[in-house]
Amino acid sequence: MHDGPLFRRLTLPALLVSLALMLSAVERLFSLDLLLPVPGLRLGLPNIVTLFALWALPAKTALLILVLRCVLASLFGGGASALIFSLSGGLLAFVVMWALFPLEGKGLSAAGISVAGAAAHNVGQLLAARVVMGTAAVFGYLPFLLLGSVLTGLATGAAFLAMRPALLRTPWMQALQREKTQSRSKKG
Amino acid sequence: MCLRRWIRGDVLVVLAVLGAAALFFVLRPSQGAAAACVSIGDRLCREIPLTQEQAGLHTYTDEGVTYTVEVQPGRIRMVEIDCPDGICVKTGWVDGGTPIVCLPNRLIIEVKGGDGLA
Repeated sequence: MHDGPLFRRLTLPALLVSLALMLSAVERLFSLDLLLPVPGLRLGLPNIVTLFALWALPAKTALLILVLRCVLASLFGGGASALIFSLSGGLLAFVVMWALFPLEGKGLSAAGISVAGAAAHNVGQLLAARVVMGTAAVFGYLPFLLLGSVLTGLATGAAFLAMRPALLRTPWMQALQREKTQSRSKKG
Repeated sequence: MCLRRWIRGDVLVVLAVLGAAALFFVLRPSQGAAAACVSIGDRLCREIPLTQEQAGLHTYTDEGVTYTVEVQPGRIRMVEIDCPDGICVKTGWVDGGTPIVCLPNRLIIEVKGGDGLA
């Protein structure tokens, strides 16, 4: 049941999309302004889902989950401008984390990947803000956003690392891991 | 030792991001060259760049109004002007957002550009 193609290609991605949507709703409830007075700084909780998807699923599926999450989140609240910002940040973060993931366990842990992803997310958002607002002044925020992304990236990366052992004990995760090693050995 | 090797890349990533933050912080003032726009009545009289080179006290006379302002990088304050209430002097430093207003002289100083987006 939980190791069939239906689970892998439909049920699990759908669950992850809804989980990411829930996390982005949760993170909207509290702002980090008290910690670091930078407007637009968020904890990046949905990034935990992207991390997990990149680790456990094919990159194509992880990308699908990310795009669906961004589109649905902007439909539920935020509108078109929210879509531009979340997609620009999310896609750049995705590319960076996807590029770094092969190094996981070889000197790099999920925490470092998460920090790089959070930094890329902020850079992507500022690039979008540059286009939307038409002024390079937005880059004045970059140092503060990068500083914040170290903290938020470490926090979300640590959250992912903390829950991974529990995930690895679940039967469906074990089935996914088996499949992954099998497809790797087929390729190799 | 094993743990250290495991997270060496993480430390590098964190240092790289912090380095980029520091780099952009240093480069920041050149991008956000703020300026104070002084208008008297409805005429724009003067733009004072709020840069390091411009820092210090300056006395100007525009439209018959003589006033002294102090400039620091990114901010400005009114030091002296001939008016009965001195509200503009009490306003203190401004760096965007609130303007300095001296109603008796119909003088307004607004800071534009720079980091005053917040």
